[in-house]
Amino acid sequence: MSDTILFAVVASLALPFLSFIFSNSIPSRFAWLVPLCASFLALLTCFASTYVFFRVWNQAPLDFFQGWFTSGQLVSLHIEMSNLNVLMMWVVSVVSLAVHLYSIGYMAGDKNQQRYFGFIGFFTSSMLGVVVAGNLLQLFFFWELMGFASYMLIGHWQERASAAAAAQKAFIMNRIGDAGFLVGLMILWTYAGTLDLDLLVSSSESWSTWAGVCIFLGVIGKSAQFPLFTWLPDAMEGPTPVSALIHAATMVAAGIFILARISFFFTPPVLWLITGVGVVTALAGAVLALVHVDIKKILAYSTISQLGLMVMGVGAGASGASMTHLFTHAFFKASLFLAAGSIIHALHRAHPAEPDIQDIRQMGGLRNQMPFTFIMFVLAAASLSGIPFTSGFLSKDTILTGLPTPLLIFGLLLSALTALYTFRLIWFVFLGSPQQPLAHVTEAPAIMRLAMALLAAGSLWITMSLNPFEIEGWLWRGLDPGHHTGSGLVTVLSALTSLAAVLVSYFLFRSEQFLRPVKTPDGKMWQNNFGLDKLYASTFGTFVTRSSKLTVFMDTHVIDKLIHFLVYAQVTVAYFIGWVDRFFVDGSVHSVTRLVSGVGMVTRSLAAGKIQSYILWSVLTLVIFVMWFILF
Amino acid sequence: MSLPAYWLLIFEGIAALAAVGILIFRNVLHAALSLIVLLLCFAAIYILLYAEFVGVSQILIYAGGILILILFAIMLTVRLTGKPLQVNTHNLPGGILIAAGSLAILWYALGGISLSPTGPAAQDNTQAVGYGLMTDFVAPFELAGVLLLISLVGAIISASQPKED
Amino acid sequence: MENLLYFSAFIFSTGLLVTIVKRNAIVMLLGIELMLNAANLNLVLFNRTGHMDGQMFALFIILVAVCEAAVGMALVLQMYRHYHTTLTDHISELKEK
Repeated sequence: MSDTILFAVVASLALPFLSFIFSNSIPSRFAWLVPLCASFLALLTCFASTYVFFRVWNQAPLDFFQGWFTSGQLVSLHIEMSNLNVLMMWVVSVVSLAVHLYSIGYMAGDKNQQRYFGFIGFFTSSMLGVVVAGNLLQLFFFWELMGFASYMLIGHWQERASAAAAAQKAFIMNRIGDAGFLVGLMILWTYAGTLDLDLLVSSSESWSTWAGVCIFLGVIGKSAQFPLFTWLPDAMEGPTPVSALIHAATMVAAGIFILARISFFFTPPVLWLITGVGVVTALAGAVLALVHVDIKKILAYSTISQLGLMVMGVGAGASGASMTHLFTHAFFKASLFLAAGSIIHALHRAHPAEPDIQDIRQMGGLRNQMPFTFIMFVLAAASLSGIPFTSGFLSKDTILTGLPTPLLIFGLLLSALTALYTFRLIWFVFLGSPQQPLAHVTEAPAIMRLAMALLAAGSLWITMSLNPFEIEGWLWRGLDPGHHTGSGLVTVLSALTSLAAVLVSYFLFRSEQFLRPVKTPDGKMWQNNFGLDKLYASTFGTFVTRSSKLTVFMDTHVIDKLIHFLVYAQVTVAYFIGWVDRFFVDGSVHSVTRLVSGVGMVTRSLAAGKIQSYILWSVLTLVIFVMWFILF
Repeated sequence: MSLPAYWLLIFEGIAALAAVGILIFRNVLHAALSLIVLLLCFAAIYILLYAEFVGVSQILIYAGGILILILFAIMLTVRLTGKPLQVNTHNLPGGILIAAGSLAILWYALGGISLSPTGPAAQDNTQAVGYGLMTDFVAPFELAGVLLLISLVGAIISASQPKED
Repeated sequence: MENLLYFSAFIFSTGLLVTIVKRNAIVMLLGIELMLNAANLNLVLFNRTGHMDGQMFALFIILVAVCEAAVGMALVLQMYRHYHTTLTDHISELKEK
């Protein structure tokens, strides 16, 4: 690998990390510097990754190895630079830059800006680490760091209990997925003997399937697929730029990235599983987006749905196509979130005491007060829905063309639903009649507008290909060389579906029956992720609680009782030993003394003052003496 | 004149019985009387052994002097409880052991000794003793006189009542 | 005449026994007299022709026995007066406390 490219890659990893350290260690007197410096570093990162992109795109892939540790064999750090990697690098750094700029305006006045910008930088650095990793262990390492950054950022407003709970939930669900990922790594290490992506080879034995399933489990956790998707709507407790960066564009996309990267390894059973999960997720997300009323939650479910679509694409074998959609999704979803954020920001400034600021039923008619936001939002929404002349239209078509017919039906259904809920959202927020006095609502500050514009530009068709109707643009060709079956029929169908859905939604939501009070299904099932959370709580939650209680019981009643028993036993033994000591040891000493004193007394009786005993003893002595003399 | 051996035996037997009597009799008076019997028997034995002077002085001094003394002492000390004084024994096993031991030693020492009987001396025994006292044994004789005097005085003083001051 | 020797040994032992065993001071003295007599008899027995040593010795022993008996009785009298007992057991002032 040429040195400058390597240097640029390392710089792009190091600079955001530097921002993390710098933001956290600067004294609070200079806290006003932090947003600017962080954004500047993000800009430098962007330059570095752009340089790398242009050097490596459509060139021969480059690899860099560095010995890491030896465990039976040498495991190396592996930085790989192929089209996929540099593309992801570029998109991550650009979105990160946009979010930095946006946050300067959005988070102005927040008490903990230092920590915020620090962790945004930390996250960017970790994500870049993930996308250039060529070794699964290395990737896992950065994967975990990303999860931690996500936890810290979701729970940024620590004083809110709901934010803390949401951060914990996100982290735990991620960890469940990561446990699966780790098991997959273990299987690979045991059977394949290597974790390097260039060296892995699929096999027909069962371990290959199991490894694939386990790694997909990690993707399920990270990319919010069914059944581990409930953390993503709750993660909207974090600041909106965080949602834009992490939960729309990049972190959740990391799962798709690894899925596409490893897709060569999956055996058919695994691919069936992936497809199934993707379909379920996509449809569930779309349906739930249709019934929620919080603007950010709608966007969150939309993300889930779109990720499901991407997963479906990978399962069907069109992983390059999924990557193109990932690329475009990053731009338009992030810009949707930023626009939503600007609305929330504006409404918050206008009505600071309003509790339900994000409820779309309270909004309406904002297009006049916030025209710029309106335009950006509509542009991005169009891309999401798959309206022609957008990049989203093209990228969605790449996936749809890669699907076999049964799945294609689902795909078209999904397109319709997507357009439906997107325009529902637009209608409620921007069109229609205002529900609140809008006199004080003003447009977002300039810096936020700049960020929004930066990302919304990505929603145009140029992002995919130069020809608005040519699916096989520069992007798809770069990501998936050799796979060029673009079916014109599918394209036309999808375009028609989307447009039809838009019209339907326009008429649907405009009609009287959808005016206030809004008839959205308010049942617990619809509002609570189909009762999935409750299921989790009742099964895993109670299981964990019960086993903890059992452990506590064991500890207090069994282990502690055992210890008490041992203590009592020891004390008893000590007493016994004491008794033995007194009875035997002291006793033997006493008996010796008594014996001696007895003998002494007997001997003393010789001198008792009785004359006759004197005579007796002396004569006895004499007799014995003489006898002794005689006999011997 | 050859003495009939059985006379000696008779007197031995009586003396032995008397000695055992001293041992056995509980009453002190009876013990003292046994001693008299024994002393008389001894005197008889001496005479039979042609030691007349010793025998007669035995009777005179021992039986006639010491025994009277003993009897006086008994009479003076017996009135303790009003009834005749009974004497018990103690340390009997030890005593028997010692006595038996000493007897065994002496009899063993005597071994198979043979003692030829001697006849009467050429001179008259009393005369011989008189001569001896004045010639060979005059020193002990004089000393014996002094000893008698000392013991007499001592006995009187020992037995005298303390002066009432 | 050998049996006289055995006899005198017997008297001697008896006298020793009486001295040790009896609990009366007077009887103790009787025992001592027995022993003296036994010794006397021995001396007379071993007396040989030509000299009178044995008999002279016996006479002197009798003499000394007299002195001893006189003094002894005097002591017994004093003892009786002082302790009001003739039991030798009770006179044990020689005993260490």
